Amino acid sequence: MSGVVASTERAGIAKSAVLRRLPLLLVGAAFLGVLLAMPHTGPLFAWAFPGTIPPVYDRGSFVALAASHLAIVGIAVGAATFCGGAAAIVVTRSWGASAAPPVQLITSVGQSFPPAAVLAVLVPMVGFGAVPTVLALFAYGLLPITENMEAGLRAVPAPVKEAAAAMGFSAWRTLLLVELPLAWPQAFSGILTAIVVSLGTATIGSTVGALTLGTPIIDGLVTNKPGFVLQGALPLAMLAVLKELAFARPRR
Amino acid sequence: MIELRHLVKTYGDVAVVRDVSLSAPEAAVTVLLGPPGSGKSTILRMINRLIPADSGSVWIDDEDTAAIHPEALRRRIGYVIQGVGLFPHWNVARNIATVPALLGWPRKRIAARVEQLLDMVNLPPDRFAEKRPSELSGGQAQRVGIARALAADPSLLLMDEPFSALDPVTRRDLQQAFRRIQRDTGKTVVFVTHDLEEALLLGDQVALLRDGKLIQHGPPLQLLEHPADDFVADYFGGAAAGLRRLTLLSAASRAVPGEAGGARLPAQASLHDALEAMLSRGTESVALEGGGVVTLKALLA
Amino acid sequence: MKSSGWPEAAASLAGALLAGFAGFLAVAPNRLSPASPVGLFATGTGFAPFIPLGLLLVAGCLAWRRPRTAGAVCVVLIWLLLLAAGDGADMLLRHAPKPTRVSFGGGFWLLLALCALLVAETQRLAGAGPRLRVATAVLVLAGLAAIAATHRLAGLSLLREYATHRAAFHAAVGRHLLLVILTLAGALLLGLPLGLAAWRYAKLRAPIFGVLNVVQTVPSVALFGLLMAPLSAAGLGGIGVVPAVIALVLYALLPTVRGLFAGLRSVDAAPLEAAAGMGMSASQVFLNVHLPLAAPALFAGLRVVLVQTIGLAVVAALIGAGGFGEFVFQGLGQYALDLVLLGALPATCLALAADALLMLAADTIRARVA
Ligand SMILES: Nc1ncnc2c1ncn2[C@@H]1O[C@H](COP(=O)(O)OP(=O)(O)OP(=O)(O)O)[C@@H](O)[C@H]1O
Ligand SMILES: [Mg+2]
Repeated sequence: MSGVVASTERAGIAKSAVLRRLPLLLVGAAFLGVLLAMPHTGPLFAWAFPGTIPPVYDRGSFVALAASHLAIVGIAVGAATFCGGAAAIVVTRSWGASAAPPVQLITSVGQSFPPAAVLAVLVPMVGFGAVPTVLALFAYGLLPITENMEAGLRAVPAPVKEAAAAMGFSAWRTLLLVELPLAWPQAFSGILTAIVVSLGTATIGSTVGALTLGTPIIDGLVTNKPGFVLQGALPLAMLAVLKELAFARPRR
Repeated sequence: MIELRHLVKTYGDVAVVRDVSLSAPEAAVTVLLGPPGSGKSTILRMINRLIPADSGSVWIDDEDTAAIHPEALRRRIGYVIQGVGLFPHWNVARNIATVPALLGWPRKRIAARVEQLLDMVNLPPDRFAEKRPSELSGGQAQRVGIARALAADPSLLLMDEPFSALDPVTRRDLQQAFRRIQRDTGKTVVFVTHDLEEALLLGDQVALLRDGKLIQHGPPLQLLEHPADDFVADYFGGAAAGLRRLTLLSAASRAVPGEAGGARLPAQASLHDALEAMLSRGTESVALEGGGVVTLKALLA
Repeated sequence: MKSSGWPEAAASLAGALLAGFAGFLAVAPNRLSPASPVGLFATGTGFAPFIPLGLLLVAGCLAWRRPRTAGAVCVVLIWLLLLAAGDGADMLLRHAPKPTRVSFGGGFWLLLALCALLVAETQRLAGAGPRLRVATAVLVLAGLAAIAATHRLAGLSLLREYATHRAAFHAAVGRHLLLVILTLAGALLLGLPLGLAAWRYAKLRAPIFGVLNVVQTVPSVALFGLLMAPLSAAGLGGIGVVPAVIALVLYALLPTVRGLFAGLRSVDAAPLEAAAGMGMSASQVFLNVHLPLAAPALFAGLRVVLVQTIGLAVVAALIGAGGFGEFVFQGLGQYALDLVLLGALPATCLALAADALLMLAADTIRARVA
């Protein structure tokens, strides 16, 4: 995609790149707007759902919820990138090849665990709050990241690596200067997948006390306040559209 | 007999087949020859109506195929496509049984037919009937493809580059097997290839196509000896045409009584084989099985 | 790829160490208060020494390239772990006051996971076929069922929760399965035509996949919430099975449609042309050749559907759909963590079983097609 953008810019129609991003910018601005405006929608929700007190979720600002949501995802995906990347590097070395099948087994079996169950079971071990959510998202992020990074590293042509070795590169240097840069586009797509999945799964973390945009929804469901549910669901739906606009790859 | 009358096919504004008229005689192999994209496959697919013709008609034994239901028509015509197209989820026996099953043959008859066909294409039924296509080599798969096309004993056979993806040895092997089966069964065959050697080896008739037009049509020797234009002459090998001609002439036709040293050539050897033998032995004559010799002088005559 | 098995041997060694030091069980003065860990040997069970010894044996077998023996030992170890937990609980409860609860500790879970992974890995190293894998799984489960049937585990808090919630638990099993089956039916009913349409009409592709992609990225919690208002307005009720199944079907559509579409697309043109050329009608070509060849990808899609639905159905308990999620959220609310487990454990087992079964089915079909 970046190649397409670059060539249109070279052709002197830089505007079109901005235009193409316009929906993303608009939805992004609307998302921020909704977060900021939510505390002031009291009269609206009081009219729509009379009898709910308070009419708008007020145990934390929506901006803070969104920030916490993003921080949880960021920490989890960052850690998964680090560990998954390291695992992918190990299993693509000749000495680490026999670790490839177990790594694949562990990361893929992890995917099949129900998120709500995993979060709940983590509570007795690490307590309520953001920690179980970060751990669970970390586990779910490992598969796409490791898988893509490994595929990217394996796709580096053998002659390229041979040429690097022939020019006197050490194994480390080959990895850093040749293999990782070539594997990066594929690895990055794995990271994006992990981010997209984590942004959604993080909301389930609110059932074990993590502060996310799902918190008002859980609160609303538990205390029977449909207004809260709507206040949480609206920004989350916008976030979903935002993800789709930001990360959608051109499909074959 | 298959008769093509003024067939035309156009995709968008590209004419792919342009007014082709041709008849493929009974019990003979008619080869459609031409460079890639010349419309050979398109013509073949119009014969069994996988593609509708824009205009013109195809007649089989004096019956207009347009009047026959396409599926009924196709069950009457054997079809071997490039890349075989065996059904990967069925074993060899079931692949071969496809058309008989469509025609509702009783199970016993189908089983007997499958066995007979596997024997015919030299694949021992006990070893091959249960195999899956993925377990076959390219040549074996191609044999199954031929057996499948012959399953319901159609009198017509359409073959689209059936041997093109094979190594030279397997290819020669299959060409000979095919020729034998065709002679034995007396099928009417339309055979597509872009390979001149194959056309000369297998064709009773050759039709040369270029850009959807029929350029020349006749027995191979006629196209070789009397090319209609430079394209035909070029396609038939230019300077190498003389050597090619020798492959089409039988050694026996030039044999004279006499004796010669060295091993005898088989009776059906071509003049090309005879020349080859003389060159490798450094002699000017070779003997044939069944009597007679071919001399260099007779060969050059 | 030739594999030496050293990572598996190293993991067994680490497991042997872990068995000695980590908290194998957790003891709490009552159902609702926090628990403190008890090591394997501190529980006083006679099974204790066999576990680290067994793991050392596994490591040895792997080092000497005896994966089959190692696998057999691992199967026995799984049973031993459970026996040790049950027996250890009985030992700890012998002189303790009545409300005392003993539940599985982190060490138990890690060792169990390790042994299960080692079973899978030793089978791979031994080159086991699908039949042996299924037989092993059945053997392990039969052993576990036999152990449970002898009431040797009755002292564990999980089983005491089960005993108190027996009726509700059985209802939850039925409800969870109902949610999954209804969702699967809905996904097939809607997804197959959509997949067919996406494949047949290029113009519909972008809108179908665009919408389903966005639906897929809306978090489950939000979708359940969003459906409440319109559904209760439509008179269907904002809570219960109906909205849950609607949401679950919406999520299931993308993998179903994508599976069918990718499958139909991946089929080679040659067999299709051959089929038509031999006189099959369009529907015969589709049913006899095209669809069977597309089946592996469709099954891969359905595997995602099942695993995902089993997991999301847990969350659906938040909108009153019942199922295993009810125990999870009820337990979280009361901080009764063994009640949480009573919901989380069967949901996880169901998901893993569905995953394994469909993977096996897809592999079998793929082997028949390839
Ligand atoms: N469905 C189609 N739409 C548009 N053009 C087509 C279509 N099918 C075939 N053509 C064109 O028609 C021409 C003839 O095609 P055809 O397949 O008959 O060639 P061919 O002689 O069999 O070539 P080859 O030796 O490569 O198989 C080619 O230029 C091809 O690009
Ligand atoms: Mg062709």
